[in-house]
Amino acid sequence: MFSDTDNKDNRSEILSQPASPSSDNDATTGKNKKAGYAQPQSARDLGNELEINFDEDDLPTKTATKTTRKSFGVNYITAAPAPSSAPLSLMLDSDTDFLALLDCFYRRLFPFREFYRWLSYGLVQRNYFQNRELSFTLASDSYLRFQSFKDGEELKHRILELKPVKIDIGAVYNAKPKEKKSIQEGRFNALERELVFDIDMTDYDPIRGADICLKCWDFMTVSIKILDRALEAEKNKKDFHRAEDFGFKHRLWVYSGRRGVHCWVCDDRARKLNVEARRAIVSYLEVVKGGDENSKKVSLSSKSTHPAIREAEKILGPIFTTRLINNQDILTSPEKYEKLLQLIPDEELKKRLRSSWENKNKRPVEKWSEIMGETQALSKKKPALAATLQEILFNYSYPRLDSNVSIGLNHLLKAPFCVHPKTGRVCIPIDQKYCDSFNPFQAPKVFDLINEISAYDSAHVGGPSVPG
Amino acid sequence: MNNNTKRSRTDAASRKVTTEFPFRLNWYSDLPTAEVSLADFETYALNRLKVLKAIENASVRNRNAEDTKQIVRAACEKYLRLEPNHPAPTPEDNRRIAAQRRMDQQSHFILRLAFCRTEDNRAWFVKHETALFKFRYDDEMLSDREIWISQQSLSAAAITSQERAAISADLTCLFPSNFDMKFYKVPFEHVLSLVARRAVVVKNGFAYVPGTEYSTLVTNAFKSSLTTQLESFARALPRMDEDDRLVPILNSIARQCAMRDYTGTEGQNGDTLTANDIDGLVPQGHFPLCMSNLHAHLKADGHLKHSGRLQFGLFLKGTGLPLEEALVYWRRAFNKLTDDKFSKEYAYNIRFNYGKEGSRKDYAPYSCSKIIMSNHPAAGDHHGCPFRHATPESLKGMVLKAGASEAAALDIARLSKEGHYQIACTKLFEVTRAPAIARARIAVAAAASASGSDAAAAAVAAAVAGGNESVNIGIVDIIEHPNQWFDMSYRGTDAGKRRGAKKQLDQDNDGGAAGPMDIDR
Repeated sequence: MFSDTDNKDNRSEILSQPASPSSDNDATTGKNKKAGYAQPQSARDLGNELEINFDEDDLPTKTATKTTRKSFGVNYITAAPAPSSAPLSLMLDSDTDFLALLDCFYRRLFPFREFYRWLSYGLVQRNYFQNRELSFTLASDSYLRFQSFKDGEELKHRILELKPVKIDIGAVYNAKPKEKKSIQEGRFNALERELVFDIDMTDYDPIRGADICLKCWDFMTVSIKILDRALEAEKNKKDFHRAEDFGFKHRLWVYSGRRGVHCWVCDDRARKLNVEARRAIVSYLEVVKGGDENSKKVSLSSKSTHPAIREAEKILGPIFTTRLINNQDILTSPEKYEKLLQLIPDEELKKRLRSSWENKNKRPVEKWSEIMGETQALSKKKPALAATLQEILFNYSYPRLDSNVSIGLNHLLKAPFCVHPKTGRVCIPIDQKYCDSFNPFQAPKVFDLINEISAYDSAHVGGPSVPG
Repeated sequence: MNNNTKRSRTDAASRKVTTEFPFRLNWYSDLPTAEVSLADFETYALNRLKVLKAIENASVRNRNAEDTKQIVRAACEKYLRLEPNHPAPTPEDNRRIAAQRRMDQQSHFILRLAFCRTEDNRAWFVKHETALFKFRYDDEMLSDREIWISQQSLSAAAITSQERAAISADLTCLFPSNFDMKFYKVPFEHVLSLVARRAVVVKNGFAYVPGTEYSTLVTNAFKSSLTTQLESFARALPRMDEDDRLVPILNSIARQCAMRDYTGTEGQNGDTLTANDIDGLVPQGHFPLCMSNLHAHLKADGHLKHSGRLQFGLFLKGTGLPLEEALVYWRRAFNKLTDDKFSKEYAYNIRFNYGKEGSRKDYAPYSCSKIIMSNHPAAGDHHGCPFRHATPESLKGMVLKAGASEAAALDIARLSKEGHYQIACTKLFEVTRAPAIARARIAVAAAASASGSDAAAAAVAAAVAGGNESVNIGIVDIIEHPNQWFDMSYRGTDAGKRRGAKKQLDQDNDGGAAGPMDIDR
């Protein structure tokens, strides 16, 4: 079935080749560019708008536009009749069903065109897409690393064939990753990769309440706000004062499908950063450090404040006092508040607070204002306490990064728009401007999406239909 | 550089000191052209190597800045003397200074040749050459330094008052009193170490470096230029028509810096371990604290995070646990997982450690300096060095559990606090392991004396003396590798020492250079 469609496509491409002289191409390019922007893409349908604004330079070259038009235009937008081999069940309880959903998802919804357009970066460097590692996790749990593809067409073909439950994006290498085995050891090296960040709720286990729920998503919202501010470029050339730290323009935030968020920084400069630079950026952004053996994970200077810390504090302060302190059990039971008291480097103060809280039903907010009042009053006499409030605040709310993912050039990270195999939710982009309103429990589930398609198809008889 | 004829180079050189090497500082961008005898070739290289080693030693032992300076200064005086420019030099002065500077240049390039071939060697060389450069830069007279800087193409301009006004709020935030400070604007990539410490204001991709950190700018530029040049050396080397006489010398020089890396299981000697042995070794104290801590968490949680698996897994490999046994061991340890999940998600990494997957490199167990310096543990991690990464309270708990007395624990806490992590670890070895080893030695010696020889009796006396707990540093070498602890503890001090001694000897025979321990004694 697939091969049929393919053959047709190929034929049409071959046939149309002589019929479209180069001057014609020039004329159509502009139109295609526009079309590329204007078409409602599934990105938008799935949730928030995809926030990668390509510069003029980054626009696909003529050839790229041409191929995308030919290869994806037909197949993707009008969704060619699907093979009817896999009957679609409405239950999500067995692997085969999930695979059938995935099959439909990849055929009808996965934004191959945008995906290819993104990863080819305007084909400024000829082999950029071809030398990119992608890896697939299959339903059988086998793991295929070092996959690479000639173009978006080949990638799409392979994904439809394998129906991977997870797609990871790796680095751009100096050669085609699929030919890795034929390259002498040590000669195959990762050259570039997006600067990525991975924030997962697991890293918050020591400081959050027991259940994973919407309350915990506050941590992610705060993380997006803080990191995005630090990475951001000037918003407006005239207003230099608003320029943020690292000056990256192209930042894509993505819901990880379960309990976290990913960030892809795609600027040319970000992609070219070496391991050391990535490590430095991570260290710049990291405030919560140290393993489980270290109870005091945040150390800030009391003499001066880095602007990035000051800005983070502006974001953290309100959320901490209005939400986290009530929602995360930070100051409720003695065993919880003991953890917090450990961060106060003054034994007398600790004793005073303890006796003031013991056996009294004080609300967390009251306890917090006690801590604030006491430390602020004491900090003039005892310089050790000057940074304590800040340290507590950061310990309980500052983003916790998985630094290894960001540092290693050849680390893999799950691609946007995958379907999380356990939750069935699509890894949709999150618009950082509106991250407050993002609700992970409303992220689309592949199951619902396919149902909507079925409903649409049956309402529009004669249009493309989903089998089953 | 020009083509001065080789025979008459001394005279020419003395006249040219002002043109060829007008300054002590050298960016090493020009290749040396003078002729060097084979003997000098090696001597120069080894002398410079001793200086770099001294720097390495100082950093491994976490000396403070002042101590490090002293150590480096002493090593430079001894092996790589470089005089400053004289106000009124005699021709004799000029000749001597030119010779010193030429030797500095030549030795640098010889080591480049020796160290450019593998990534590890390159990294080692760049790191310590940069430290040497920084030392010299800080040490240089201000006037000379400024002229030298102005001649290099790296001058970053100080920011204008307009630019300053635009970011003054941020500058004041980080540097509360900055009226008389100059700031230099550079792409943040040029001062990564400052970015990492949040010691500079970063705005729109530029770092605003305060004048006090200008040396960092220069040092980083030196480092990145050296890195690129080494890489181009490495690419050029295979095509170079290298003299047959040089290869062995270069090889032996490059080997000097390699510590014992504990690659390959000791299985060849027949004393391999099995999966069943591991858990029994821990309570006997054969594992250093970092490893017994990882082991404890592995047992308690049935899991370790990636970095912990790497640190512990490679250590086990170094103890002589073959791959098949390692697979068995980890499978049992991860007792909450299904076979399926284990073989899919974890077995790969274990085979990877043994060089059976991926790049198929035989990975070496982590050394102490690697564990201490890189990859700090984050939440949920248990890897790292307890002396470095644990809080004083939890360290104390671990130390006491390992069998140290309260007094020793205090001592160890102090050493850790002062940054002498490896010495603290060595101390723990001495108070917990040395007596046991000595007892074992006594037993052996006593058995020997039963056969009735005076020498054996003397051995008993020595062993008893060694077994005394008050015996201090000096009984064992400083622990520089977790597997060194294991070897000394499990395979017995004697075997460990003998192997260490033999290695020392090998090194001396190779090149006549001092071993890693000798320079600062």
